[in-house]
Amino acid sequence: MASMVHQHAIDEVPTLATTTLNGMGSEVIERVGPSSAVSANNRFANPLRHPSTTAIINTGIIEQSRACNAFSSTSSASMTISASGNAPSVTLHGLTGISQQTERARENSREPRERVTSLRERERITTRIRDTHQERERVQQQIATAQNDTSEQRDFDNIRNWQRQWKRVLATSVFYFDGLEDIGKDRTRKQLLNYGAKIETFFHGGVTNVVTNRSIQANYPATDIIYQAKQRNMKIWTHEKFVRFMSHLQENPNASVSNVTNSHTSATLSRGNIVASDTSNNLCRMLREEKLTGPADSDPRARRDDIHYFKGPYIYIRDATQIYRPIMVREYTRVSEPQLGDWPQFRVTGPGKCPFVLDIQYHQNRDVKEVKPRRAGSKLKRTATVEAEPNTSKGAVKSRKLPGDERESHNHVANFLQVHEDPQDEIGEYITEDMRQHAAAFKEPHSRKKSALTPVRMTSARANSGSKAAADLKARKQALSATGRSYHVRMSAALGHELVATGINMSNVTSNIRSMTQSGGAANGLARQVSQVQSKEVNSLKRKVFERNRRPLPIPQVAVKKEAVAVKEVRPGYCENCKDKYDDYEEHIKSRKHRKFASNDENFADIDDLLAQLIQPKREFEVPYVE
Amino acid sequence: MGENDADGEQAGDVEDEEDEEEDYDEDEESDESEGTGDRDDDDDEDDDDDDDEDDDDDDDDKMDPQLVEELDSFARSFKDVANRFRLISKIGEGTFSSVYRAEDMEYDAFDNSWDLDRSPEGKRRLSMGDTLSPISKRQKKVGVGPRRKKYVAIKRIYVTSSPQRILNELVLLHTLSRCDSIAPLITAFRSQDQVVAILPYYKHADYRAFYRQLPLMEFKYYMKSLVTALEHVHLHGILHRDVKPTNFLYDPEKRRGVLVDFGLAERESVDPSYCTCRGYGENNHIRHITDRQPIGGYLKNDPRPGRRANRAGTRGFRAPEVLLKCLNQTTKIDMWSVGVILLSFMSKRFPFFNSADDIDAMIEIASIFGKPKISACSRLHGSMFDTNIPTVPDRGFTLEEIVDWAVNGTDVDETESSTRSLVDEDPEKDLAFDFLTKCLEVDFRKRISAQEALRHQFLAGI
Repeated sequence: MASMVHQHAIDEVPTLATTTLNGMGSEVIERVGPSSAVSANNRFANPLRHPSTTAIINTGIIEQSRACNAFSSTSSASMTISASGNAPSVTLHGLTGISQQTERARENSREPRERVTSLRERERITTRIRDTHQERERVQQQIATAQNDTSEQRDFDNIRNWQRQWKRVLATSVFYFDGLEDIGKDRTRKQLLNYGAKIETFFHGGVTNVVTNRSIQANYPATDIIYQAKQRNMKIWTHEKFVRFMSHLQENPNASVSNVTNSHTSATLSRGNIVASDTSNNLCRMLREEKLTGPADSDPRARRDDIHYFKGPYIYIRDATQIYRPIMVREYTRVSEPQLGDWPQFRVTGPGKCPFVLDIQYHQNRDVKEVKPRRAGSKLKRTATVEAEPNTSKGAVKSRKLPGDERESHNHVANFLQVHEDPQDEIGEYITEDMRQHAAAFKEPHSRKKSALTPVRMTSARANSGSKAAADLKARKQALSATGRSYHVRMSAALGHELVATGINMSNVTSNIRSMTQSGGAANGLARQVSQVQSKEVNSLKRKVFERNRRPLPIPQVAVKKEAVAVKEVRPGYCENCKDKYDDYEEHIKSRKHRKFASNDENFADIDDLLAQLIQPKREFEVPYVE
Repeated sequence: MGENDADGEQAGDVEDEEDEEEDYDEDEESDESEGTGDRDDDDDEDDDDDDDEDDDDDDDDKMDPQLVEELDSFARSFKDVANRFRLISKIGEGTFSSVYRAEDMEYDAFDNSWDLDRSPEGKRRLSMGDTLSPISKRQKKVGVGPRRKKYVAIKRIYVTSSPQRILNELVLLHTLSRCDSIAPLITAFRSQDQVVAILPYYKHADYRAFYRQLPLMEFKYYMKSLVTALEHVHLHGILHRDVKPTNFLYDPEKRRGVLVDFGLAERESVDPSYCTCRGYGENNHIRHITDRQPIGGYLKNDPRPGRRANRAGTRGFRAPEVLLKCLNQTTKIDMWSVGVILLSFMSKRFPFFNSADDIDAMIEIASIFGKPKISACSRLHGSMFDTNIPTVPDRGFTLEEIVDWAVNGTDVDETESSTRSLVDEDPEKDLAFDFLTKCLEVDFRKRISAQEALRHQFLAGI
């Protein structure tokens, strides 16, 4: 049954001016698997499939209007609240695109309206008054075009879906060309490689598709490749079919519908109802859109509870196709002067220093100079900065200690700087690096310091508590970003140097910390992201909890030392092979699941094939090389 | 505020299944200080020894007990490797691998055509896996004195990496081996889930150690060597994805460098149906779309999926199209990174971009190029850019202005005159800025390609 559906579906692939996907056969879709078979079925179950048949078009209109009607009436019930306070004209203004069209489509198809809300009634009357007879004709034309487009558009979507699914399949397919050795000459094969498929020179069990010039139906001996391929249920395609398949796969269905689309777009443009040509006509998309923008008949300018309105400076990059949620959005605290803003800014810095990280030392030098223009130290000190090599300070710092009390405000930073004004004093540079950040965020320095340290402490504390540690890390990370997002990386860098300062040398530890603090998501960022949507509130909750849980760190050095040792043994991450998050690398790779994977050579068959080619040849003559 | 943070995080973290893992890498090598730093410590000390018996290898590293244990356990777990190579030190650590320096004990038993040092022309072309010994000295010793030590870099790929990922890297390395500016794969081994790649060991200097001293004329060789490597990579339709100083091992004395770490590299996609930047202008419906999304605010619980794209790479070196999650990323993303390196050199600031995350990165780029350019670039990739951040200028700055600003600041009279003169008086300055501007073109279609870059006056002259 299922395969019959596929067969039907694939044979009924919509026909565009230049695209015919007929004849691909049922096996084409079979490979896609059962889940996609369902979607294939849905995709092609479209009453508007034959634009040439008027009857079907009409049904389509009715279907769609009904659906729209039902949909609008349910949603307008809740939405009238927001819209009812507005003048009718405003409401009308808010009515855009497709719903207006379908509203009229409904009128034209003389579909009796079942439920008419007062809002809609009012709108209809106003529209009627405003519409001249001539305009009405134009609207009708427009609807006709729109409906044509709908079918074209769906065909286009269908083909695109078909292409997309196949591309996905190809990425994991292994091709063997039977008796067609000219690999590389054929452009289609290059394409194939580009889609991620593999082409094998030799036939083996891992092959998924066989392309041949011989007859597939003929009977072959058991040693024949085609016989074996059949035995192993591999897909066997004739070369001709393969070429046809590849050309369909690469066709841009967009090109063939673009003319119609453009004319439609301009038609709608002229009405002032600009509609995204490829999003408007799909009911599902419409529904989705309405969720996003509120019902079409609501006032887009009315304040909505489900929207966060920016109060401070923001960056907001949204998806123009409206399919995806914003690509970037972040808001910053409003400040009296731009220079105080928390976002990255280009500032003058000392040589070697990133211009987007506030260089407190540099600026303090300048400030001090402004107060006392002839201060002798300032120039000297800058020279010190200029000459200080990032590498050399490491050793020097070792013998020094950080000032015991780090709870100073950034005034103390200034004091400290003055203490360490000696141009040779490299720790001056180092400490400043750290302090700079304290002052940079204009926030209490101590808490941020702690937050940088926290991952270390956390890991050790929760080493055994399973994935919870990962979740906590995430919360911690966000706490980090809340307190000093753009600085936290430097913080961990500074932390690293503090480790050095205490005489512990653990490159692993610092890198662990770094990967924890920097990577997104759980622990190493490799883990699957679950629930992107409502986690915002959860996250802020977590953050609050975390902030409350913070305890002062009396002597940072000692704390770091202790915990750092613990961290060494624990390297959390994600195993791509077991598809599991782990808290301890060493532990995980000994686990039964992982060993099972590791000991199965089949998993590494491809690598072994390559390694066989990579064997370094032995030297022919055991004679030392002499020039 | 906090809410936005969370949102930002989300936006940044949403990747598709394949890309989640890339998420991992992206920050992996982001801190320049670790891997190379260590690697350099070794090298700098080696630099001075010309002897074959550079017995420094055992004691030049701070052999902390943990490292010793690590090396031991590695050797124990992998007999093939342990029998042939003597592990000396760890020289780098990433998310997917650790790199060790080792002595090849059986060097002479194998065909070492990878070793350009062996080239029969008698001319030393590139010193690899080797200490810097003059030819004469070497000739004397070969066959007479103790065997000359040969070094390799052993890349131990963590067993949690999928075979596909490992295969990808090995295949690409193998494909690209035929270029002097790219580290060739000597060989590779597998023991159960453990795969190691044997690569030449390269002597190089830390970028941070020379970028502020090197005159522009000298830095051209750096650029040329890097772009040559990339031309080769791009010619194969491959994106390196992680071009940055850490991954380009440069020896200023020899004026030669090698591009390493193809762990994130991938083949350029030829799929035409994805990002709007494909066929933009011809058939672009985005322009006609009414953006009905909320303006001046965002949906609190947005049910839509996030846009997903491969963002693998290092913060601060990602091209705008990567930040915008374009699905049609081309080899031009590597040229952006080249531009970032040159900008860092010209301005004597490293790293130039801090880019704690993609949003910060976007703001940083926008602070230089201004709203109109970034808006246009966003539109190209099907997004609408909107910001009211006061320090993001309405008109962008030229890169000359930016470099001048960075180098000379506001108090021009009292700044480091040395740095200043370097930029100001160099006759090559204009060429360099032209080249830089072409690399840091936010529209990838107008950005210079590696091939064009080699023909650019800035590099063609040398």
